[in-house]
This record gives sequence, C-alpha cells and structure tokens, in this order.
Amino acid sequence: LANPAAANSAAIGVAEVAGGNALGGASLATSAAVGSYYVRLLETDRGAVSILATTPKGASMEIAADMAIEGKRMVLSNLHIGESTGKGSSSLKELREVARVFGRQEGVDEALIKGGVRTTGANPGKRPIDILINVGGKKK
Amino acid sequence: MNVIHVTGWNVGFDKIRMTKFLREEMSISLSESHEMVQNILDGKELVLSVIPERYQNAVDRLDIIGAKFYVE
Repeated sequence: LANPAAANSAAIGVAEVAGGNALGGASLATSAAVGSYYVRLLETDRGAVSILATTPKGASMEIAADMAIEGKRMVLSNLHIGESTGKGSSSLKELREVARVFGRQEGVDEALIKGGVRTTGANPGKRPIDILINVGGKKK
Repeated sequence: MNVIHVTGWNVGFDKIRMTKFLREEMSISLSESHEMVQNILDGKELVLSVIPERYQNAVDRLDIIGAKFYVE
C-alpha cells in the first residue's frame, strides 16, 4: 500500500484479474423478467449488488447498490446507474420499473431506492430524494 | 511503483465504470470497490500504487471516468 494513513489505498497491477462482465462480476446469480423488462442480478457481495437490466426498448442499464431486506421491504441504498445504452434507458420511469421487477423477484412488497450522490444530470453533488415503490405482484 | 492520488470527481464522473476499474485493476471485491467509490464521492482520498507497466493505462482510464487525481 502506498500510504497506510490514507482512507483508501490499494495497489494496481500487483495481481491480475480475469475479465468479467458488468461490474467485473462473477457468475449470474438470478434473473427475472416481467413484461418486457429483463433484470439480472449479476452478483452479490456482502450487501453490495450488481444488476443488469434491459428495457422494452432494448436499452440496457447497469446498476450497483447496497441492498438490504427489511421485512417485506427491499432497500437499495447508494444506488448508482452506469452509462446506459439505448434510448430512454435511464429515465426515472425505467428505474422504477426495473426496481419493481427486481423487487418481485426478491419477494418483497416495497422497494425503497436511496440514490447515491449524483455526478451527472441535474444537481451534481446532491443526493436525489428517496423513492418508495409498491412492488406488488408475485412473491418469491 | 507510481502513486496516483484520486482526490475527487468531475461532473460526469462514471461511478459504475470507476467500480469496474477498481475491481479489474486491484483484484478487490464488489463490496470493497463500491465502498471505495462511495468514499470518493464523500470526499475521501484514494491512493493507488501502480506498477509502471499499468500506470499509463490507469491514468487514461481515470481521465475518461472523470476522476480528479494527481500523480506523485
């Protein structure tokens, strides 16, 4: 480590990593599709999740978040959306639908999205307001 | 080793790509890289030690990602 006193420190190139998909993640964990939305949970690691979603328009959206299940509520905090491909791939409507599909897959009644600090779009540097979504539908 | 200090982010900073970058280059887990990105967003400095062979690639990628950084 370059500087033990630093809050974050690490070494690059000390170890080689095999390439992975999405967030460099490992194997496909679970997937679900409702309507023409397709949501794949690519990886979970100590509460962090990596998700790849495809919208009805064929756009794809990469998502990373910290996930917790509190009773029948799924909480996705520090949620980040990566560079999306395709038209209409990262609108609020699309995000809500993706969360709804994912929530059904996880068998919860509600999904609470706590977005991470924005670095693009409106109000960079600010956290967006929380979004509570009634998932409804099928249970796990 | 070359040392890169990631001190913050510019508007347009790609958080997912930064998470990938840290995972691919540092052999760390998803949760660790996600936490490091959170720390950067919270204003904490990230110090990276880079072998010379990967230094230029790392700098180029950080530039594209939109990270604020300087090298020693």
